Amino acid sequence: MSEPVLAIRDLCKNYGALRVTDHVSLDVHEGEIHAIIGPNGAGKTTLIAQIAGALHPDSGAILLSGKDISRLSPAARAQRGLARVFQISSLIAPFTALENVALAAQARFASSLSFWRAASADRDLVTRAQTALATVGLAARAQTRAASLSHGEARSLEIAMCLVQQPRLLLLDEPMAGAGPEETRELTRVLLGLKGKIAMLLIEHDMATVFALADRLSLLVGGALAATGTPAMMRHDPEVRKAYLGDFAP
Amino acid sequence: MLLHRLTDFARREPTTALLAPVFIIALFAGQVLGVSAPATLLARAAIFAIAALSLSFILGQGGMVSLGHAAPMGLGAYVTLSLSMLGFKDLLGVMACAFIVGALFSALTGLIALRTRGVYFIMITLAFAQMAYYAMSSLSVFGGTDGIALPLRSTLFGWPLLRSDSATALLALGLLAALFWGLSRVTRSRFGMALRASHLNEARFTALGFEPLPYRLMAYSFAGGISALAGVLLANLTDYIAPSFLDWHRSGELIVMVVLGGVARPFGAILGAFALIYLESLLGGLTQYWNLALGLILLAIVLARGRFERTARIAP
Repeated sequence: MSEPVLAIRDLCKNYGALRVTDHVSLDVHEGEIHAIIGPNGAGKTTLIAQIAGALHPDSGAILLSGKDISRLSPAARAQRGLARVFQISSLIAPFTALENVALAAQARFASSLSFWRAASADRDLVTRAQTALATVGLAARAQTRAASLSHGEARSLEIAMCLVQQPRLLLLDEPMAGAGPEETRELTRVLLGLKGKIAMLLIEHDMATVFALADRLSLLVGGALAATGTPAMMRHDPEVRKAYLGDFAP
Repeated sequence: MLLHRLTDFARREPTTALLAPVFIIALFAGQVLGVSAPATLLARAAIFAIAALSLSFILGQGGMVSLGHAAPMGLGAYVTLSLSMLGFKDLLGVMACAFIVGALFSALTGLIALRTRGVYFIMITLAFAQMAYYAMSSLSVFGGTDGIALPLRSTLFGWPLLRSDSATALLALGLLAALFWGLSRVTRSRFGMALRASHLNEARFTALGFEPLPYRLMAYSFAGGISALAGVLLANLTDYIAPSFLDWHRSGELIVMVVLGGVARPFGAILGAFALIYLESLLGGLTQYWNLALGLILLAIVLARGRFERTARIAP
């Protein structure tokens, strides 16, 4: 079997006596969508932050395509093929949608030591950006400032910025958060279109989305991994029921 | 109707509204009021506008609030002095040396200062500038705290271009225009987009794979070099170089110029520099308490702009 795109080995993080990440080990295979579910406060966002490099774990290893990235800065990890969609949309607000995606493409495909030529005249970057925007359905909004986009459009824009970089792994922190039914359908459609093409680690509360997208689920409770399996298996898993429905689960 | 339009304009663009009459008064009634000669004043304004524009670039685009930007400017003046003392006065050569010294000073201090943000950055830039100030004050060969006269004014290919203040003014205006055009191109370039993004959303910037420090350092060093060029012209204008060129008051004045004209737009720094220089001169000719008057006027402008921006945000 080929090497997993992401391998987390025995990751631990404590804030004093509080175990936010408790010996977590999991992996994400090529083209797999691996969803992490769990009640609030289970440590899901903290886990993503450690994978992205924004937080330092106390012990354990994080491997991207077999290479240890535990000591690398967030920027270095991004250069190795890690892309991240934040829990609250993080865009360059005054830039247009096209400029945002073009900047993302610039990070991977162009030198930024260009001081004279207008970035908007760079045909390669603009084409890549337009293609990515079309994939997420934002082609018509290319010239709109990111600050003026609707919530769902902002989410899609973030996904486009990640896609244009052709990442190895996409980290999504609650992509459906704050999205209405229409927006959720649209975002799910976009992610389904990428299924099998890019490996994804997805945190999500919306169960319908999780079951529609995920190849595998992992349940995080109190910082520790309580169960892992395919959606079909997890649907009937007593731990999952207990985590979401409490001890009164039938 | 016209009055309404004028007050509206004054509220939207307080600095311009104030500058226009001040400029006209200084131009025509200047001699009567004891204001400096028009050419000298214009040259001075243009020279400070060059330094202010370079500060506005790193402040507005990169979010780097430097309270030490007078240091490279003063160092540029001291380079002019040193070379002049050695008998070297070719303008292009002097400018090249000054640019290198200014950029190097900013690069080395930036390596330390740019690892900090916010108030800490402001304080560190201030500290480095003060170090440079005291260093120059302690050098007796340069006249210590009193300063010293410039032995030889710079020449352009042997031609004593800078002997007249009008020519200096024209040269400064030319350099200012070239800088403005150049910076507007840099802002739209790939480097400029990256620099702006590093300031607008650092988390997203790093998540995309960019490291912020190299961009900030490059911009900061470049701005230092430009400020030094302004220093060369200032040395030629005043014919006298003193450590006060690097003083933190000067750095503060540069910040005031940038803020006065409006941080958001690149032209703002030029506007602010002209406004401050002309106001200082005019008020200085009118009253002994010109500092007080200047302070009150600055306060009025900032408050007017604040009120306008608040209402502009509420109105759709």
